[in-house]
Amino acid sequence: MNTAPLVIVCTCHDTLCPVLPERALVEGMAVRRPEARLKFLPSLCRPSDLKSLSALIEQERPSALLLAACSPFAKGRNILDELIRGECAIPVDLIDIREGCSFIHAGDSDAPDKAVDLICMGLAGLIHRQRSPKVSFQPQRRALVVGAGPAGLAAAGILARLGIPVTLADRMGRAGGLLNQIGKLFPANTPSRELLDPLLQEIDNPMVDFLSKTSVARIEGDPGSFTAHLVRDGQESIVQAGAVILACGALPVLPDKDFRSGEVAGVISQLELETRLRKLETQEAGTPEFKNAVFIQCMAARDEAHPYCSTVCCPTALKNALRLKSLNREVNVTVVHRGIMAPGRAMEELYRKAMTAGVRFVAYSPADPPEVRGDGKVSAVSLKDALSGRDTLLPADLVVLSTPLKPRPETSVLTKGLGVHLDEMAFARGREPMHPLATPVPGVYLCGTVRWPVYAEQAVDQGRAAGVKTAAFLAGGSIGDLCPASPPGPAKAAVRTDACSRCGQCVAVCPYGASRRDEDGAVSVSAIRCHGCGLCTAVCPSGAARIPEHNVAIREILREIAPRIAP
Amino acid sequence: MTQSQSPAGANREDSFNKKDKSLSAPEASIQGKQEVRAAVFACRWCALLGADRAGRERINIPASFRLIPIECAASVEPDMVLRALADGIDGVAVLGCHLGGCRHNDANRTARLRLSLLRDMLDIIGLDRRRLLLSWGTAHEGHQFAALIRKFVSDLAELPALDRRLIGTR
Repeated sequence: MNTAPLVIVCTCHDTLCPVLPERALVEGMAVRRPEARLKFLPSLCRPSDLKSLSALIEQERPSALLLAACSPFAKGRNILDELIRGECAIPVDLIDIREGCSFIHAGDSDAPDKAVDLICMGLAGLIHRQRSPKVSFQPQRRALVVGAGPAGLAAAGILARLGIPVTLADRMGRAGGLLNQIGKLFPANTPSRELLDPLLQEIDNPMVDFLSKTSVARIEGDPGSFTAHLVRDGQESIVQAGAVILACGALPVLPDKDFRSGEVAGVISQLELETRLRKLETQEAGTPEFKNAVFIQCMAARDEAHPYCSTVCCPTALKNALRLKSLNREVNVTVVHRGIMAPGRAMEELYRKAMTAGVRFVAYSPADPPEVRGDGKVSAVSLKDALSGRDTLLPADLVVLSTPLKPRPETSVLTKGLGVHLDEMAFARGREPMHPLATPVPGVYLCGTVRWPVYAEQAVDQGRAAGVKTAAFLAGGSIGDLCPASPPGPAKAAVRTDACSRCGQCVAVCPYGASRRDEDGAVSVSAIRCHGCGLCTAVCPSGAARIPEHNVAIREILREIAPRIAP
Repeated sequence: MTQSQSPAGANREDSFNKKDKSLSAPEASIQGKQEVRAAVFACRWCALLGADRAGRERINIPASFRLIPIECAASVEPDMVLRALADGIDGVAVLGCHLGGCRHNDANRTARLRLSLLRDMLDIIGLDRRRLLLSWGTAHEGHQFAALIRKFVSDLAELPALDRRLIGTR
């Protein structure tokens, strides 16, 4: 093996030459790095050139290979991947002299100097960059699903079908979650049993250990071996699981004296209307005892306490307005809203159907909220129409308040123990936007309303997806495959115990809870939790926390940039 | 007399008296000719894409900066910035994701606290705060990246050159 590194410059079909002439590069490199050999190839993205590259490697047998070509986001990454897949045994790296130099410095006489600098920086990185050790993991083959709503049931069902033992815990006596309180589902007025019953059948499987009336007090441990403390009737028990699916749902906000509910009769929540409608629909010749129903949307939503759109309330109002209309066409239904949020083909159709059925829509502005009128019993709703600006009085004998879903306070206890973060509204946060169901902690997945309000069918879909992701995690493998890694591969922080002063700054700043202390105070990094962001290496006063791919290499790269003093 | 020949004391005074226009326009342009060096740390999730787009759009940018891709802006040690300045690099830019959009659980907020403090310290020790450029999500597009670098390089060209005689003696 030759000790000198080989630098391949891709001239990109000779388009590089006007800005970066070959001679200037050769001369520059001869001064800076005489030992490095420089070769030019016209187009590395062509298979023929890759073949000549392999021949060159065979012939020169260099200690390292640096490709000076286009940006990794153009073709560079593909070329690099091709080489690594072709089992290139020597260290190989790519630097960008096309987008990063020739394209942006046209007509600049300093451009060749910069290209030489970039090549030297690349060589410094190649020589000094160490690699994090490859670590494999073997998780315990059991999943814990917290919450048996539609999402949790779907997750447990798919895991059982994939042959993975599941513990499914729910605080309630029976499975189904919020779906138990809802009779029919939008948009097609499907009875909720039609969604729920197949899910219940799926978890009727020896693989699923369904624990009802059981709440999960806390979960500790690391991905692959979590310990959950379950409480049932004051009795605590422990379950060991390799992965956790959080499907613990959300809470409906209920009116508390809002819009004079509780004070005047006839002001109810949408959830109560669900119950009443279910009764009316099962009665023979059920007729509602009211003539004028007014739905008020966005009660306690999109305000300071709940600064978000809860997604499900507008479709629910549309569905229930239509249900009222189909019970009795004579009932006047008015929806007082701040903009109807009904996205998607089916929801748009539902909205049009409601308009055709004679449901009236009146917009209000949050600055002028509607007022409920009446003594003892509701008689009217007065509001300022936001579109026409006119004061409007709507006669009403029933006022239905559409309320949002809010995060469950217990969720934060679980997420804290797991190392998962909450968003500003206190919903559990996934790795948005690319991996919304996965969390930064491998082996912890989210589905259903615990992460954001969703429709019941979507909760089922999310549950299935989270189940499959969990199964993939539980198959084990290399921890490098778990976190998004930049080339050359997953970087993991490590603490050198001999240099560590145990100050604990890295433990305090680690955004993933990967740096931790043991009982003796010694600091270590959990490789499976670490994403290699490098925050710990930046705060470590002793230089003990290090990322092999990062620290030494960056220092050497900076040295290459520093201006050299003339001899 | 070019700046690199001027005594170190004069340099320090220049950077202290920013309001004192001892650097007249012609002199500044002479300094501009002396090659400015800037190290640009670019977060690979955000600013690196901006740099790449600037390349694809072929936006012309002065050649005096060197881009160093990093995993996250949080990994930039203050020590590394000071070392770079001590090595004679005129300025260091740290380009990260917008606050709230960090791929590493808001690690960039911690980085901002630390590096903003370092910026203040650069003023205190007689270097100039403009030698450390911090950007949180303002370099995501090609033209944004290009404008940021152009401004940074021209700021650095206005500043007195670092005394490079001490390089290598530490």
